[in-house]
Amino acid sequence: MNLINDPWIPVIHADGQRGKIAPWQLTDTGNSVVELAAPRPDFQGALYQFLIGLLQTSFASEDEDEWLKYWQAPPSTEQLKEVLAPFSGAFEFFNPQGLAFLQDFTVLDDEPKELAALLIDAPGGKTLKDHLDHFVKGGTLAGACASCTASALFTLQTNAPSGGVGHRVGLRGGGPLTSLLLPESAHASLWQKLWLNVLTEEELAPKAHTPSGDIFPWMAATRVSDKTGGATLPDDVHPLQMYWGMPRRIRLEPTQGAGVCDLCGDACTELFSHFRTKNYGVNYEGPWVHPLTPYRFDPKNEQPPLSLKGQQGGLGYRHWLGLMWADPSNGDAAALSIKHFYDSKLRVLDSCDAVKLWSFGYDMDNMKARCWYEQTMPVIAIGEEYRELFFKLVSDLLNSARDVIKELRSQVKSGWFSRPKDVKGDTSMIDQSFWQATEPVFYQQLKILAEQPSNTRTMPASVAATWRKLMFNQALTLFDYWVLEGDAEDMDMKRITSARRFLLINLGKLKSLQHLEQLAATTEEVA
Amino acid sequence: MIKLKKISEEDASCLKRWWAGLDDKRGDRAQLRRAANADDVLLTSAFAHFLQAMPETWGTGSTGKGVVLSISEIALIAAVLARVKSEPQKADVSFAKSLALPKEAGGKAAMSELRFQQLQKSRSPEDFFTRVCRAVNLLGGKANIASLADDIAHWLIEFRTGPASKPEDRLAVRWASDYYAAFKD
Repeated sequence: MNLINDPWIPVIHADGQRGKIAPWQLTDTGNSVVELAAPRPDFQGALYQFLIGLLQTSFASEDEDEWLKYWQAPPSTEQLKEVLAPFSGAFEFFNPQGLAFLQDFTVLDDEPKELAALLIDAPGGKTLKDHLDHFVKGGTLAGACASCTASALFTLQTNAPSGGVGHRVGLRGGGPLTSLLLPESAHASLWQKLWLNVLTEEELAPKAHTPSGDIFPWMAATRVSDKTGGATLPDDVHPLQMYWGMPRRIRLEPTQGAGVCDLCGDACTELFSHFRTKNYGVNYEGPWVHPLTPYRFDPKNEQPPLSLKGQQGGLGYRHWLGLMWADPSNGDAAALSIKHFYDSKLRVLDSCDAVKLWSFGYDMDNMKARCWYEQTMPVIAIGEEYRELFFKLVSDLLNSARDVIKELRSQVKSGWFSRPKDVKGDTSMIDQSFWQATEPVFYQQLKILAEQPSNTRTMPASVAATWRKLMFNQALTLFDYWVLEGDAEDMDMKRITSARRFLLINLGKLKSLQHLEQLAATTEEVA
Repeated sequence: MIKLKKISEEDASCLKRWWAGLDDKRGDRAQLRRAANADDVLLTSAFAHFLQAMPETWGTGSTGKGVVLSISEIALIAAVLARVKSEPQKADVSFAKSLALPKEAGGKAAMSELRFQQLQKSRSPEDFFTRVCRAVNLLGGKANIASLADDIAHWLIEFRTGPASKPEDRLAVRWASDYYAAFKD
């Protein structure tokens, strides 16, 4: 199978029909393609990135104008086919003696491993041996079709968590978050969904006309990272390699004939079941900044930027600022593609082309997948004059919520325990409950803030007042919920009532809330 | 102002008027104070006078807030209120709060924490009646009429139906917040 020439990408057509296409058929006008249809959510995210990477590498626009041209009228399939054709040599999927997509340049002679090990959430060898695969069972994947195997390979290489000695993490670290822009319109084509995330040559790098080992690491001897080799820094290879990172040295084993794919359920003639792997593959280090991933930047500029990861508790509005723009409270900054969206695409897009952000990624505990998270959030189109202030105001709202949560958590613990400082354990559900309870109002206020005229100078009084009241009410409601639900007879009411009183007193002392109070009051006087 | 949960403001002012009138009806007061339990109260003329002084709904067993009380529960309230001699000067001192305040400056709480918890955990209305009377005595007969009546009604209702699901609507929570806010070790 050739990943450029042959149909292997599972898609949904406009009439609801499912099928498989080759990348060049993306823009087929007969029965247009509206969405990918991967059998697993991590594959879905990976296939998006595969296609975005492919377009970025071979078809990036010169500038905004050219980008807009293809946003409005996608290239024909013939045009795409022509552009992609020179790359097909690098995208042969199974080629035991030669070049093969995302597989090591050399033939590996290590022991074959079961294909299940390509899946990030599959239980590892020791887990299986100790019978600890309680929730995600082992032994459910005996074989997979070429299409699913290709998705699995790309998913692993792009998200690779640490995998034991010398089994390297992906270019963005293990289990990075990916942020993609999607049109809000339900009728958007898959082309538009992908094209929104493709940067111009000015923004990233000139497109390639022929494949090379600089961009596709499997086309050259692997830059090994054992004692003889070293780390791979951004200056060592082509910037487009970010879309094609290959931290793991892998070679697929010949198939065992026909069968039914355990991942998508389709019958196929070639079922992959084993692969070989070797450690000390490419070790990506240094200041890599993948254009589709949000990063946390060190304010002192001493540490390389760290990609944001899926984390316990998932994604919520508390990440909105960091995913969408930049959160000064922790140094989180949105993916480059979103920065560029605000800087250039927003200018050229029609105002009715509403866009949303889709963020997803694994929450990894080293090599163990704890959870898969994904979330969509509205992207708010704000004019340039008001933009800085708008995000500053949102940051004020978020900061006050963070302050309140800190107080709430500490006083709930004081209500629960006589020596709260000595108590260890996970109390993140308190934070979660607060974020969840305040989320709808946050988005309401966000909308109000977004609709302010561009000469706005401060937060509207109504927003400040609403938010402050919400903070107080929710803190008390949730305190009662966490501490006082249950049988009052067994509680130390003295301790609890004092914690509740301190909660009120301390909330009153919070600078961020006092600030909101002033804003709410001053503008009222003027009115 | 103290927020009343189980009786209305109108109920409260009727109660106060009736209670203030007891000074001129020494016989009524004596009848009610002599009662060792609520049932003793039911047949007295004093209780009949009490019901006459209250809004009509009380005669059919419901407060101005639509809360259902049995006739012996209403009698219990009347019997306890008759033991109150005066009201605190500040209108915002609830019954539970006054229990935590010392009788003289720098002294101990009028009712100790332990006794306060016992009062709340009384096993029967009879038990509760005895303890709440003792509480009024410990206060030197000084208690907020409306708050006391509201809390007695609240206790009796929770005894019958169990505590409310929302913590802030529970007597235990309300009492503890009032009591411990004023309590000094």
